[in-house]
Amino acid sequence: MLGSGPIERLHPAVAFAFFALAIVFGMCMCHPAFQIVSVAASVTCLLVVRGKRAWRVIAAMVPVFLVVALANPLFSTMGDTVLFTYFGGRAYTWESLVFGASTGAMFVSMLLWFASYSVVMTSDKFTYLFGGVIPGLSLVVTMALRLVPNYQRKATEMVTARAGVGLMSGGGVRERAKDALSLLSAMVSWALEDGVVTADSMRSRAYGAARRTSFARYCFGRYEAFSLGVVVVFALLSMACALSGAASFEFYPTIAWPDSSLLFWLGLASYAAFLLFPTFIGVKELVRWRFFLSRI
Amino acid sequence: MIWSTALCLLLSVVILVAGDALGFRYCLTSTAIVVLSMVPFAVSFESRRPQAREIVVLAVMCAIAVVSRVVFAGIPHVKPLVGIVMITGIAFGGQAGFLTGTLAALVSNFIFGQGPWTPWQMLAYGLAGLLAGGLARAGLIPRGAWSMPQRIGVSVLGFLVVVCMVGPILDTCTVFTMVSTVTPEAALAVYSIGFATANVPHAIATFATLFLVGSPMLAKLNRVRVKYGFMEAGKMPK
Amino acid sequence: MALLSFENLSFSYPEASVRALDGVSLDIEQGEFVLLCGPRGCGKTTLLRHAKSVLSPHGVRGGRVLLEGVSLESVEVSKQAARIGFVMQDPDAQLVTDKVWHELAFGLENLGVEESAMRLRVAEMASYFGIESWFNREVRELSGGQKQLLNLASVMAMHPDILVLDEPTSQLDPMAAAEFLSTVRRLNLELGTTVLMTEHRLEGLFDLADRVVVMGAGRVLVDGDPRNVGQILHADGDGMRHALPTPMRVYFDVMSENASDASVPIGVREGRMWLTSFVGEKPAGGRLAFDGDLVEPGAQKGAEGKGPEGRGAANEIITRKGSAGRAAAEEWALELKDVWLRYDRTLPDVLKGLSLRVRKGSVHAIVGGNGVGKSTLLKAVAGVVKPYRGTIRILGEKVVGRRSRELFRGALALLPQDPKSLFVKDSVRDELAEMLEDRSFSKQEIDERLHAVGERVGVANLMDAHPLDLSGGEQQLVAFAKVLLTEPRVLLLDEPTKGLDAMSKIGLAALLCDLVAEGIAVVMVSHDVEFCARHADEVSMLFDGDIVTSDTPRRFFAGNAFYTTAANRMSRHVFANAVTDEDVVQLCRF
Repeated sequence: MLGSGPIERLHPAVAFAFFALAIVFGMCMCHPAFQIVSVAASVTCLLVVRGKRAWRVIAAMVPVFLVVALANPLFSTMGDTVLFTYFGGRAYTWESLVFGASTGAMFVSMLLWFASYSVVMTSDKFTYLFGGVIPGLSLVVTMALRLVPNYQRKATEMVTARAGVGLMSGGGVRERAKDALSLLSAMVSWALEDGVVTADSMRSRAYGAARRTSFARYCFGRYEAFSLGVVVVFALLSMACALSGAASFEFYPTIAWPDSSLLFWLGLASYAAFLLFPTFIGVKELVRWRFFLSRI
Repeated sequence: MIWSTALCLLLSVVILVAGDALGFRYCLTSTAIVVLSMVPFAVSFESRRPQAREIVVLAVMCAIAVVSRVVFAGIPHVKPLVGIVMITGIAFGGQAGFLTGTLAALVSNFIFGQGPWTPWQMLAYGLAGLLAGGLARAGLIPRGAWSMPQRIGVSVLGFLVVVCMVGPILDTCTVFTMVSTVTPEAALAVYSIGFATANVPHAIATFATLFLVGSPMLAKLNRVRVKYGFMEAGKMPK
Repeated sequence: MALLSFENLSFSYPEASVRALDGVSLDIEQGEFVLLCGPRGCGKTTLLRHAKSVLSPHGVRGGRVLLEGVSLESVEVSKQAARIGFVMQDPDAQLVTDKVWHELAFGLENLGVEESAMRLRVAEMASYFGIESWFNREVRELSGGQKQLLNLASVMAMHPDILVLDEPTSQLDPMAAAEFLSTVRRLNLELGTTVLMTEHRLEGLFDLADRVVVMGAGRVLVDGDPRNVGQILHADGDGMRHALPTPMRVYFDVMSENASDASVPIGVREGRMWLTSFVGEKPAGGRLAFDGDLVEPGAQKGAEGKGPEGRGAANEIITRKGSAGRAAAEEWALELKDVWLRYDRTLPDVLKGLSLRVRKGSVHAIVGGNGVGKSTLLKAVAGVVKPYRGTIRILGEKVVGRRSRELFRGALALLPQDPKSLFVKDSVRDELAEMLEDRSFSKQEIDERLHAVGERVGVANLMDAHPLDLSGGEQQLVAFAKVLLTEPRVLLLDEPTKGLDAMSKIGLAALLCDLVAEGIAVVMVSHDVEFCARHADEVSMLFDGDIVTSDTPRRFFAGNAFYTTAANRMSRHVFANAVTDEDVVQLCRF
């Protein structure tokens, strides 16, 4: 069941901080080793969050990766190692291909982080988190999220009602698209009419009368503080190492593996610790339940 | 509004310089700037303590726009969303149009999945609403019933807005996130592929939306505005 | 000091020639349960909305509204919001957020209640209203009754002193309405929350109220004890009389001049007691049945089951249209045979081998609880959903998943539950003309037809209005007109009386009577037991996807102990088969 896992139960602030940092740092780190860690961590995180269904998403990333990687040498001829030439001498270089693969890995890991993010950061967590900063707009989002399924149901109801008196033409795609559009426009009237009632109901329940507070469904206790601390400390440590040159990598003119210094290993280790944090708590819980259940 | 705009401009410059100095990929820098560009609108909306009815209008129009995207989700690129955002802008002003566009993008991605494209979509759809609202305010788009030439005119405008603005903004997102080496040829390739496969169908959908339901929808919005005094167009700043 | 008082309050809407409120003075005392009633347009809602500054309509106002002696305008908005709870008609549109917990907390968030206090209050409300089990759900998953309870709970979370309820149960089915009302009563009894409520369905409400106030044309006509008010309303003989609870109506009809305040029964229980004492004076010991014979208690079972000849005769006396036209009706208008239907391969069956036959020129009512497949049945007949087995014949012709236009031309039409879902245009005229669009009529012919249907249904004077500006009853009529333009021979109605007041129901019944006289078959799905008992020729009970029983309303409702009319419930111990209040009155006079 969605929403029951340990990652889903993280405080929205912790979850949001983690994903934001993971995505932003993922875009900064150029070293292939760092990128491989990011891809691996995003895959395991998605597996923990979505279970078996994650494999379909992960499989869909393979062609994306290939397109991004293989396309780069077509636009960039930089690099000394020519793999082959085409179009009368245009070079397809190894360095460009690797650089493309590096971008591809970055892109794929970003998509995978977003895939986990979409499951974990549900709309109510999002509006909870931003309710304090942008109270009006986050209320609009909350309301729109109620209205969307409401309007979908209403649209179906209208289609049924019109079919029941023989008004749906049911012709080709063009006809149907036209019918759908005019239903949409008809919906506007009563949607706003209902909106008047909603606005009354809001004002009658003191909307705008005082400074809004947010109902806290989430507790920020010691566990949350600790989790946030782990995430932030390891993230900052890895970033510090990266900025000191641990994650720099030269693709052109030829690929140069920098010496693996202590700084590099420290940076990589803390990067892994940071990114694998959700996987870790997910697996920990899994093991605990297995163990626990096996004794029942 | 002025302060937040200035601050965001300043921050954008800082990010641009810092990103360049630290050798970050364009992806990060550009997305940060896109997010920052929307902040002044949010600040301006929040700082004037929006009324219940303004909140409701935004939520309703945003939900209608999202539903329009959901209804047509089966047919690729046929999204009436931009058309509906533009109509909102025309009826309720540029700010309402902008916010409807951005929030519709955000909310629809709660359904379709968030991604690196979310901020870009928010900006692109928002600008479409802002532009339509601005033109209506300047008197270039009539708020009342449209004559046939006006109908065609606005629909063509919608087409152009998608082809020249919304589409290219979304393609820019692709350029910065997916292209490894940003060269003029690579960018050109992305833009032309985007133009042919996504933007033209999208623009046609927008044209059709504005042409078929623009005028009746405006009539309906105007009726409710008059009946309940919803969000008077004059009252909306900018 | 009164908790809430209206002092000589007058109000008129902008550009209206008549005052909506005309010198209304009313005091609501702490802890009272006040029921406000009156015909549509009498100013009830306008008055209620004055109980809260933010909801007061714009217009010209005279007089004052006081909250504990303080003028309402000088009471802070947040204080008003907390102290005066307001629940409106529409269960759905009143909701603001997408989650149940958020809805409960919404008012408290607005008041800026601090975190721990808010948690406690929300938890308290969820427990008191029994919401815990759906606390984490999305509001869209709730039923109408649950939504309205949630609206009530989220208002109660702000701890109001007075609850103002504007027709809160008009959009609910009877079971949900009863649950809502019992919750309101509990709040009133256990917490002492003052209640001011309007409602047009008065059945079962008079025994809740301490005081009933009747309004008419913007004035307070009567204000007093329910028993007393009932007598005045009944004597007046106007529309409100039909809205009175059945026991009261029966009592006044039977007793006429001999009625006395003290013995007026306000609910079924009291009605039963009164009837026992009233009938007890008569010589007979058994139950009086409708053919005039006394039915011995022992013979009761047989009498209610198959129905001997005597019962059939009784039906003839009472049936609205006599039996002459019926005997000739050989053909069936609608025939369903062994219909099986499910919405998706993976979902359970909704209709399970359902068979049903409807005569031409008759009203066939289908009753049953929620989710037993009533609406699905109508949709299947209308061809909107397709059964995977079984046949449906309309006017003798087989419908094989046919959705062609001719089916809806002169054959079949379905009136949806919510008339608004048929409306797409900006005026009633366009709305109706839409039905004739593709039928190559000249402009004059269209005008003639529109005029004819407008006259017939009674919407001729509304032609230029916007459909959404009309009242619920008028919207229903416009939808009806729209449906009639297809010239149906079989008319399907989905909950046609939902949200209608007593007068609109009488109008609807007259219209149905008219159509049936022309030989049109009406199939009506309804929760409105009273309406079915009075106006149907046959009633079927749908349960678990199949018709459990079909019979004449008299035999059907007389056989049920719970799912039956108030008249039957109050009289079944003395009369064998009285189902409408007229029946009871007639038998009392016997």
